[in-house]
Amino acid sequence: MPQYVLYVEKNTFLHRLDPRTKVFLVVCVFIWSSVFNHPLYTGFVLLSVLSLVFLSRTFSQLKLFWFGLVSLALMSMILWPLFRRGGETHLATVFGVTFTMESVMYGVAVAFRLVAMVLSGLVLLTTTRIEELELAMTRLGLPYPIAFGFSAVFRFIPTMVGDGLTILAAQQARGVNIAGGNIFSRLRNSAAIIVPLFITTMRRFGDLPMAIESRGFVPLAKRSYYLSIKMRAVDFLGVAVLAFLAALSIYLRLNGFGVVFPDVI
Amino acid sequence: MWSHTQMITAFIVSAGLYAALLFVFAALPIWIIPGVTAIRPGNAIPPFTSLLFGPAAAWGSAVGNLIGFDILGGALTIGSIGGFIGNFFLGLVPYKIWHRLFKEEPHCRTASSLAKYEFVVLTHSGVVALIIPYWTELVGFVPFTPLAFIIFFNELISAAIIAPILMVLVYPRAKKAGWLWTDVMKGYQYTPTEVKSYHRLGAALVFFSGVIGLWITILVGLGLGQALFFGPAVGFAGASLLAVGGVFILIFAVGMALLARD
Amino acid sequence: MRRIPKLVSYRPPPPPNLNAGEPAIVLEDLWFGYQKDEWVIKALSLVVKKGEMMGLIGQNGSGKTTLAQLVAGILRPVRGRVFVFGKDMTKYGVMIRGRDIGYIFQNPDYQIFSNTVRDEISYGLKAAGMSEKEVEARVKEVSEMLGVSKLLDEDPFFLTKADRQRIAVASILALNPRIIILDEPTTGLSPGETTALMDTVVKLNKLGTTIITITHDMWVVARYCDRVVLMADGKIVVDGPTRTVFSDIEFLEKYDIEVPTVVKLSRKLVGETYLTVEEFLEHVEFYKHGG
Repeated sequence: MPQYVLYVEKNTFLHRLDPRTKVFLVVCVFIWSSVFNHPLYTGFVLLSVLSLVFLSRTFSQLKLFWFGLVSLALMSMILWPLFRRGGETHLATVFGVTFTMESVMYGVAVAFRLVAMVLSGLVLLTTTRIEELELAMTRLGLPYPIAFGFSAVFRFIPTMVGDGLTILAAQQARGVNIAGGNIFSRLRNSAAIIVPLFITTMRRFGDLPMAIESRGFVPLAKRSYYLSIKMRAVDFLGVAVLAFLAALSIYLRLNGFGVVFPDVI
Repeated sequence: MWSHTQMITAFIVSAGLYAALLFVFAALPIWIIPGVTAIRPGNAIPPFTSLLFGPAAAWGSAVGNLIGFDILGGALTIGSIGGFIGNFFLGLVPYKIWHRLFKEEPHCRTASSLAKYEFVVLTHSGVVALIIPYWTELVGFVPFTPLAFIIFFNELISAAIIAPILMVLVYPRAKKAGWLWTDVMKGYQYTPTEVKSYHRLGAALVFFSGVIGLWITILVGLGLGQALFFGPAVGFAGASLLAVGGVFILIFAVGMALLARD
Repeated sequence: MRRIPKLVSYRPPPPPNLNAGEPAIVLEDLWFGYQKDEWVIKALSLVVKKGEMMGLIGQNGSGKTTLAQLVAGILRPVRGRVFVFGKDMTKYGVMIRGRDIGYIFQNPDYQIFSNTVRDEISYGLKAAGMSEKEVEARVKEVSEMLGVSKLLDEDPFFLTKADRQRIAVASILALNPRIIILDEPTTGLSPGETTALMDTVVKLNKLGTTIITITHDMWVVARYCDRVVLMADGKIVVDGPTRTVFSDIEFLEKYDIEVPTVVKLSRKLVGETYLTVEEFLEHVEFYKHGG
């Protein structure tokens, strides 16, 4: 089976942290990188996240994502100078659109911000099991049926993707053209994939309500868990440091540090 | 809805189908701008599951996108929050409008049923194209205007073409098999016996904000009308854009609240 | 207590029917894996001759389905080459190979989506651009062959699994493939339904279609296949005429393959291998009670 889940089994500091601490880390990266819009500051946040990637020894797992991350960064560097107008320092005029030094710097700052955020999410996903994440979400107050559904979807995804790819092959083998032709015929033909996948899935799940209810599943009941997660001293320390840094970054921003455009995020 | 095990199954199916199809079709992108944006046939799933599974499809679309795009695709960011909310409404708006407004079934086998369905698809595409980019602009992630453009057409093209075909093939079977949300959640009407005027107003507000409001906001983003509304001195398109877009999101919220009233 | 009847005489079974035809499929040093250094198929070579009826057996995870999908072009080998009727098809995907190779999946729901059986069977024909008249003739022909003529206006969704399987087979047969691969087609079917399906497949085989069938039902192999290929751990362990392969019961048991009871019985009683009960009764004579 091809691989779907990003988690890599390793025994590093980051793997051992409580999932809630890591969720908080992701939130803090959002805060740190969002309060600044100067490339030096967001660049520093990005470097910190990159060092976490190295610490978690999941670098090789991320090879599929570099292309996307680079495109995301490039998109930001091109789009923001076009839409975030402002600044004094004239840089160039192309086809009647003027670019300022500030708007270009803002674009670079946001590019760093985006990559830092995506990477922090990836650090969470590569160092945390889905079951731990699910448990963390229920502990953080997410209603159980959603958390249950969330993890159920995760468990069934390999089956459903497998079904989907087989259906794709089955239909292509009898001449359904999905890979070529014009947009309209390709979209029309994709119904030949979606309908069998839907019906296969419904048949597979037809017995599910009965199966889970016969095992004593009551959607909104209180429950206990086999897997347990525990905040240890190192987690509390981690959360404290992260919170302090978040507070510090907000304080810096309020005092005018780390911004190209003071009026926007 | 969470007290019905069968609705939870429907939620898992809608989420799984959405996530799995995003994955399956990722191998065969239909490019609009090569390397930048591709049409995703999976986008036809929310309006399709919405009319079958009702509220389960709203949560299903939100979670399906979160898993298929953000988590498996490695794009878990602050933008994911907007994606979650936007996709929730992708699954909510179609069935809400239908069960308040249209007495005909969404079988798409007559011109009038098809036209109503396309109206719903158009509206839900506009709504998501207003919500997600508004969030990404608000948090300084991706600018509103180009993203709104891309999301609107991506959603509209796939959904407008594929979703009616899915309805033609699946709706009669789902009805016969007892899979529709009103088969599980007794006491709700799949199609209304009488259309209340405040439901009409609610749907009109949702349509107005999602489709007309979206384009007005896009125009503001492109710098048009700024001088008209805010005078020539405003430095950032961002501020006026957020103000205009915010008004339409408020109108949308009022419309949804009216539709939610019994 | 009933007595075991005494043996009078027996005749040896017919010699294996070795196919000397030209190759339909040639696999040359095939390697495949989903992940680096985890090979699912290892250095596999195989020749399937035109008109052969081959059974592909092995435990779950031995690589049978992967091999079949490599032949059909659903998967592409990491290394090695695939020839179909003498042409190197390694680079071509399932759409091109689909013109020669029909693949029948275990689960008929993988392909059925139309609202009527007629639309379902004619879908591939219409996609190939066949005229309305030709389509109608082909649909009539295959639906008669599979005994689904009466179901043409039904919605396949509400039919039984056996009927859906027949419709899936019909929609593949309609395309007239020269090679048919059946991937555990009889799972979930009753012995009667299985026999009906396999009899149709034999009919096609007699008309010259090359057949590869993956199955866990050894009686299906014994009764219908001329040749057996046993796979384990991504490699071919044994390849030979069914009678020869099924003769070594102990060896097959090492791979969790249990030959049909009639084979065991005939090995024990007379030291020959009879593959079906009919064959056994035809070749072996007993003392009759009171005779």
